Amino acid sequence: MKFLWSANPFKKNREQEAVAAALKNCYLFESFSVKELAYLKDRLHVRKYTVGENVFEQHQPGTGVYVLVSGSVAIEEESFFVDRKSDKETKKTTVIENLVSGNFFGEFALIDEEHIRPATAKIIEPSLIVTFFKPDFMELIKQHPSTGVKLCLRLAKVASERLKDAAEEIKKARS
Amino acid sequence: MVVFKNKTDREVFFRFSFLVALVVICIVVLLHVPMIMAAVLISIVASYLLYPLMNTFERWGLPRSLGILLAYLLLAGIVFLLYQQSYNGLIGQVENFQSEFPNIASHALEKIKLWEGNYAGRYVFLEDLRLVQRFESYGIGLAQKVFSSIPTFLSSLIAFIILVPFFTFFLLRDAIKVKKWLLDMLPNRYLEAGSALIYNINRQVEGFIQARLLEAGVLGLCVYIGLILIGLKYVLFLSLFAAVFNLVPYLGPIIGAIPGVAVAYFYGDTGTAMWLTIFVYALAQLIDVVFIIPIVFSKRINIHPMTVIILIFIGSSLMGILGMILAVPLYGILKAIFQAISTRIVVVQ
Repeated sequence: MKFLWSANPFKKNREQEAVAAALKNCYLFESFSVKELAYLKDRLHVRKYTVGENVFEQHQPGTGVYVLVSGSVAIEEESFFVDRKSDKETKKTTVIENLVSGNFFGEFALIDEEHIRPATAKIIEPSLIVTFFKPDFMELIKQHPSTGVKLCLRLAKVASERLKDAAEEIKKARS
Repeated sequence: MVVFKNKTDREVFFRFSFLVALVVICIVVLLHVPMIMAAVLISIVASYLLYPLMNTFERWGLPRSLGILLAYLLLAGIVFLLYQQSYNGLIGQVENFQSEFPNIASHALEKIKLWEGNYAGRYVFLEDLRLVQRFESYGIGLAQKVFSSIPTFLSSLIAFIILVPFFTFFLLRDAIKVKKWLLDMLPNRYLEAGSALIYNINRQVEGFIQARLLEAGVLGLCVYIGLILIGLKYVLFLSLFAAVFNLVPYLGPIIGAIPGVAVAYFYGDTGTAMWLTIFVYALAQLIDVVFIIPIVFSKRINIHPMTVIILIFIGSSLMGILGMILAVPLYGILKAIFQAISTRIVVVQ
């Protein structure tokens, strides 16, 4: 919804251009044609976030993938451990990754059944983010199977890369 | 006074307030104009039925609006063919039923007189009951009222014929935009939950409507085949009546069977016709309960029987027969929304 006082046509165009460019450069959508991106346009949600806001929180159900158009996001993991000396439970927050414009996150929510977020996505700098949700992904597969397969393959590739990285980490930890 | 930390918070607050106000205004307006409300509800049902067809056309590469028009054309063609095929059947049967109703009523009156004559000597209280006079005043009066209300019903039907396709077209064409608009109204933190909620509600409502109509259709077909086999009159009209009333849970199947049983009793050549007709209706209900409901309604919304009866009476007093049909599905939709919101909030928090 556009309010009269916030209806700036130039600003809107710049924002739209930035979103289109971010999608074109995003690994998940870079193989999409102009027509396929136009189909996605009505199903994408462009959102502005302020510093300190959470895009999603750890242990909550997740349904969408996020593409960072501008700004910065930190992926944080909260863990609890018991201090042996004081015997008290302490919360520890670990920053797993800092994301910048062009990065995407939360992609496993698209392929996972009843996905629960393993980490929190926290806004570090004012950000513009594009979201694509699972119900729309399911409809994309049904309505335009070839486009759906393109996205599926990219997601599979990302999953395999993550699996390789995890295997490497385990190998390092063992040795 | 509300103090906003930043511009985004202020916009979100206004958006959300606007959405809530809009929903409240829509509900109040619709409750005061039952005709529009009924048209909107029927359009929602129609859009859920036409959605898969429109999607198929869209998949073939046709623009959405053209797909909807093609779905309309296809539906209009089917309705026209059915109308042409069944004009002599259905319309003729309704007209015959209407014209022959005085005969049926006089048959019934004679049977009551005969019955009263046989038993009045034995049971004195039957004379006090004055069954014949009561039947004449109430029964025939009620039937005349029903038939005299047919022209009014037909005039409102014409308004529906104009309004429903109009509303359905926009519901189908702008469904995605409406969904996006609704989600855009939500604050950032509820965006994911909102998307999942809309998806869940949509899936439940779609399943409920399609299953209910399919169930009614199969039951109507069972009644049609059964009544054809026993050779009863007005079969098409009676099976359609049974199918439509089957949409009203609990009371519907009984009301749906009354005209058939009445025709068999007062018009049938032999006494066994009535028992055969009752058997047909009972068998159709049995097929419905044992086979159709478990298969079609695996994800059916469970509503308490007492709630159903209360809902049907409320629907009947607000919008007549249409209210009786719409009360339970509408409650089902609201229940689905409430359940989805409550479970989601529990999960999110």
